[in-house]
Amino acid sequence: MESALFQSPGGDAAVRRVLIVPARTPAVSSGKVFFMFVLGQVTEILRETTVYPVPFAPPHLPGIARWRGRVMPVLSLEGCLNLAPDEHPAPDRLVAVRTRHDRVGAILKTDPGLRLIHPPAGARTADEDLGVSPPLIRGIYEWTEGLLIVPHLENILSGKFAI
Amino acid sequence: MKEIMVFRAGDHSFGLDLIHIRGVYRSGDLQPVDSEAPDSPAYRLEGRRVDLFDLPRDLVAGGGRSGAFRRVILMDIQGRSAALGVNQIERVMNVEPDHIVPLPPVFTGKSRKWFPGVVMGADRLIPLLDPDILIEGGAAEADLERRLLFHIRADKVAEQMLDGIRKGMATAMEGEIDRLKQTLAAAESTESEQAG
Repeated sequence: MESALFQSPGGDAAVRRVLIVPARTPAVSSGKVFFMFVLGQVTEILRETTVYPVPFAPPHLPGIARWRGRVMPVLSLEGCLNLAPDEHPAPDRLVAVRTRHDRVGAILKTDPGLRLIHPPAGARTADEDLGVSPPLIRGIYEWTEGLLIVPHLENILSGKFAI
Repeated sequence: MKEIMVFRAGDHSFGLDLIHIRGVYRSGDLQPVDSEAPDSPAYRLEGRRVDLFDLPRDLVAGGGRSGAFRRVILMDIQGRSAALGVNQIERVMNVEPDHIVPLPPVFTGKSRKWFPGVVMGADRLIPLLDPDILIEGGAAEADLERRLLFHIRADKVAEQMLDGIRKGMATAMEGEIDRLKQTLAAAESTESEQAG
């Protein structure tokens, strides 16, 4: 599991930097919760974009947006993974992400406290599962600051799993 | 090239393929049809019976105010006439076929059934309504549910009325029986006195 954590979508074994995003959910016994993306998944950090709502979509899918000539879903990972919401969430930051081979993409509404760091050394598989549906994540890991969730973007964006 | 009518329901814009549209009218042109269900969607428009779909109410998150539409789009859907209540007609736009793309797959269920496609306009995105959903399901299901609830409520009222009538009759009968008993008792007493 730890070796899979550090492989980029291209299959390279060496990943130099990863993007850590605080999850807008209350801390758990292990500490704060974060999302982690390899740098190859992140295509752009946006200042703002117009979101067009799609009727009958759940609140964590606020709508669609136009990005580089494509229609991208806008979504909140916390909602997709059914994490408990933060009582006082920080303002949104928008992060455009893509899946392996750029098959699909999305714009994530995230906490603004993004960080680029080297892969956290010593991270190990967490005992807590946070109640997240297994197909929607690649793994949950413990590190010095809390828990790291590696979302399974392909499965989340596929529409094949309930979110 | 496709022609798309863009309309507003609530605060947002949506699109409809012009091929389905027969005309646009004012909301005042709708005439209600006498029906057992007061909230029946049946109306008359241009002499024909139509089913009305209140899109500001149905599409706005949390439910918009019913009847708030000002314009009505008359459509033919699978041989049936349907009227779509909308707030405003914005424009008709010509769209290249490759500017109509599928809604991203992460959107499922009712979202995808109602809006399977998106128009990539020059400066915005416009979810494209599939009018067939109004007949096959979606709004038709919602109206059916409202009609059923109306009849269920009507049945409950009728049941309560019948129950009241039964109780009233039972009470009245009990009263009559008591009066008969008293009358018989009085008659028996008179007979006894006369015999004595």
